[in-house]
Amino acid sequence: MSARDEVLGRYELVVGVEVHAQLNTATKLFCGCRLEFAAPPNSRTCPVCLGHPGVLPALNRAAFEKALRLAVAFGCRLEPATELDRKNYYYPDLPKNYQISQMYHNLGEGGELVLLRSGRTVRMHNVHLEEDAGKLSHAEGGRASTVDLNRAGTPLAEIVTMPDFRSVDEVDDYMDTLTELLRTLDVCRCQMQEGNLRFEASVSVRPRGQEALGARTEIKNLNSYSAVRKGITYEHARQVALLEAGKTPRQETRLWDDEGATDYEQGVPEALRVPRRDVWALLPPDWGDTGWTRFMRSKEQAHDYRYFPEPDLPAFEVSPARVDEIRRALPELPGPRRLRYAGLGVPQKTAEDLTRDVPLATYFERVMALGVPAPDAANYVMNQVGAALNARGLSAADCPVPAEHVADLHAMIVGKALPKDQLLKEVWPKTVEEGLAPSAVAAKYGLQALDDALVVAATDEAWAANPKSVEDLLAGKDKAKRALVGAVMRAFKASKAKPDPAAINARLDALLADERRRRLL
Amino acid sequence: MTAPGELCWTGAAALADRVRRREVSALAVTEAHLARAAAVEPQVKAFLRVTADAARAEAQAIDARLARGEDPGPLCGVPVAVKDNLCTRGVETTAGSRILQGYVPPYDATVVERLRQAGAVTLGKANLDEFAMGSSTENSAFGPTTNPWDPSRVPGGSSGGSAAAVAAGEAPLALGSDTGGSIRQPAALCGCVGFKPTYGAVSRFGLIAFASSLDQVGPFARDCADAALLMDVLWGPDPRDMTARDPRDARVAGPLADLWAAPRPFSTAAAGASLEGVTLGVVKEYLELTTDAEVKGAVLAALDRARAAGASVREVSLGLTEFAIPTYQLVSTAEASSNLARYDGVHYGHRTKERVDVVGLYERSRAEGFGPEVRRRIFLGTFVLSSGFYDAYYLKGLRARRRIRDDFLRALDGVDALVGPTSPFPAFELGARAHDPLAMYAVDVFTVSTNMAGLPGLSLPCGFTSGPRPLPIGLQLTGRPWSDPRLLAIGRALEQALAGAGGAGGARRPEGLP
Ligand SMILES: [Zn+2]
Repeated sequence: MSARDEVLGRYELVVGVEVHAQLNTATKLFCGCRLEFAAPPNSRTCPVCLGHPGVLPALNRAAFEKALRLAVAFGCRLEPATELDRKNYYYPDLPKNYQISQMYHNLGEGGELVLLRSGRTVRMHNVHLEEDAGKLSHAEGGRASTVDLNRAGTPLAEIVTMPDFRSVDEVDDYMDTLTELLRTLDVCRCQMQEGNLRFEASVSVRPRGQEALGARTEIKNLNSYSAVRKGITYEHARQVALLEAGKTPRQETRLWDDEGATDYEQGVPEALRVPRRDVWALLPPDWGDTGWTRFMRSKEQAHDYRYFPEPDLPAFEVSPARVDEIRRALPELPGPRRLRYAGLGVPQKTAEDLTRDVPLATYFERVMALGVPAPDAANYVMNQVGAALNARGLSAADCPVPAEHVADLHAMIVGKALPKDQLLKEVWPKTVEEGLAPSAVAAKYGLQALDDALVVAATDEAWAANPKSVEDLLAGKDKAKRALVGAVMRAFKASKAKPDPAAINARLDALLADERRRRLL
Repeated sequence: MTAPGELCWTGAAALADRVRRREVSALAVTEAHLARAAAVEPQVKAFLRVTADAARAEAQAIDARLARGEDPGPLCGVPVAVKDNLCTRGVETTAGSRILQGYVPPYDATVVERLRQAGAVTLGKANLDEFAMGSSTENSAFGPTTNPWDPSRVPGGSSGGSAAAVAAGEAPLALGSDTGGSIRQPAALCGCVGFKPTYGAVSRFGLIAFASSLDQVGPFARDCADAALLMDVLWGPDPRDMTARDPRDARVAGPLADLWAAPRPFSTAAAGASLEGVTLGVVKEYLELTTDAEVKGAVLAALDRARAAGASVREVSLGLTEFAIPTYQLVSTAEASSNLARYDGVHYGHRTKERVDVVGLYERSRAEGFGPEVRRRIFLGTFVLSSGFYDAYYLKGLRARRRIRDDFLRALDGVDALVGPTSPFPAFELGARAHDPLAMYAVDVFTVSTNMAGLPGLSLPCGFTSGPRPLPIGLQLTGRPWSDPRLLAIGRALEQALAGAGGAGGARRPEGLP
């Protein structure tokens, strides 16, 4: 055990995660502006999302339903009526200088999520609905800042866990699990680089065996999966370094900075900082020179958000009947779906790949529904269909090949309508290109299977006509077999029907066995 | 042929009829009111902006529609003054505040849209206390409006400009907003009719918010029939305001939903108005708190007339009256502190000329843009919502508010409307209360509870003070939630019963105006 592991091992890492997931609705939460990534600045705005005098919010029911679906999927406790609250703070990207959010009556309280990799259960704290702010940019070296309000008013589900994570790997497992869940429920696009899925972690450490939690640090600006892992890793090391130096971490907010790292933290008192080398000694050996969390504000400097119930919106009823309806309509969640696929004989890795891509899984289900056994269906979907999609850069939702064509392909393979090789290499590409069923492709091009007797006769002929190759084959030179197959294939050059190389091989094997037996006698 | 001046004292319903029958053109009606405004505005100062050219164009469009045989709507050619906290597309809207000076809304408030669809002509934007915070219109950043009956006195507020415009014959109708009495009290002080609908009866979309859970838009007119005519245009749900409800739905208005089912529920109810079988509850505490003998006398005399016309009158008690003003202050300032946060100099409105960082920009722009009363209420509201004080103040305020509502619903049990003075005293002198906030807040003692309980409230003229410059006295009627058409009908019947006494504002015109 390294010195680093030994020191870190004396403490327990405790992490809670807060996620802001942009809901993938067509329009904003309180107005009719369309949601589009990378539209020209301020082109997707109206008096409501610009916070003009006199405007009022009108709730987007689709966003409410999506957030509700999420809360139901977590198994949250739902109040019969949910209310929105105002969170008051001043910032130029927040046109009203308050954010409509939830504080006193969250959409959902509690609930849980089973992690896909470890199978552990994470308890949820709450799920609530709120609006996003705009984007403020500070021009490089410029005196002016600019604000783009296209994002202002985008619906967000905020998903808060209990402090249930004890390692970075568990958080990683959670990020994957949650991403799959959000995709399966069709509530979020989950493109972290577009900012529609944003993570914040609250991190504390405590000596092993101690029950009381240490003071927690909230880490913001975790804008990629790797930033989440690194931010928590760094914070773990920093807090342990503080404790090892006899100092006590305090509750504060810090920013992850991929490129930063200096010897001294500005604005942080001596009692709360340790030399850089002490932190680096506890980081993984491949950490590099940069990447740290930067002090942003202490608990005392935290905003007083002056939450109060949003008077411009009524309470929204969440009737038990509606909740039941949503629960019944929930799609199969990733965990159970993986297990089901594996149970049907789909290899573990393929089952994971399929659940990760919801449209592809849906496609797979359609192929199965047409009577194709699960392992075969998975194989065609991952290979033949996957290749066609990749070549065109399409999602399975826009797949140009109907599932019926895959089922047709399977029927032809099983029925030996044509050699498998020919079906996959010659017929399938035409199926994709021409939009015809494989059987229609075969008919169009006059492709048909040869009578086995013809193949046998032609193989026997080639065997007799190529004694040199036969000798080589008997001497164990496998290459000779290819020459013989080639000779048979050539015999059918003028024919539209092609022999199945497998059938030729089978006949050759039989001839070879006969010949050996004969010579032994 | 009526003299142009007489058009200014003709009621809205009569004007609309005559324009519709093409006895007089909408343009002539508009010109008469513009001329009246030009004559009296130097003294009354009811308008922040008279949009004469736009008004003429609107009037001509109405005339053109009539010429094509179309019906422009129930307010056909009727000029209307619009309180300047209601957004008007393309017309500067300031809410009486320097911080919104030069702000031109890109959209019309729903009520303004409904006015236009009903064939009304908007004359201009009426003065108000800054952000509707005040009871005298003295808090306007652009100078006070004066009372048409006595230029040394206030018109009341915050909708003082709207009330004064109607009382001075500059417009037969006006829109106001009422958060704690801002329609009813100026109506009382100027001698006209002012109606605050049940919370949720009229859309607030485009009303610059003061206190969202209390604000309602409502009409000013010179009699209850005209107020009913305008209410028929204003009420109704609005997809842009989720707090605006549809009272035709029994889940909203209960058994009173039937009242709203008629095509024009207010005019229909007002047309059949009678006091026969109506029970009025006179509020004991309101009479006790009315120290002005003439105000008290006028209200009691009106009750005698009501009895003579068939009403029965009984005494009721509102035991929580003393808590009305403090509760109102907690709730309204808390909401205001948040509603007014958007005026920060970043996106629109006044921005400081000083070179400062972003926090400095907020501080300087707001300090320069807001007047002292608005700043006072923002401070108070911010404090009320602060962590550590929220439970003790805001939550307690909400609890008190529910108790006050219960108190009213109990008092209204078996009674069609509560009756009392609208204001404890008639119009006071300019400056008399301007420097004493508590004295100014006390003006609203009889009106704020109506908003906290979400009830409909009506003020109508019931007499005048004596003396060389008689001042109007207003009587307030308060009804059950969603009883609005019936309440205005009771007001209509009462005003008819009072007409013989020569007490109603419409029958008597302010003297001393040009
Ligand atoms: Zn918008």
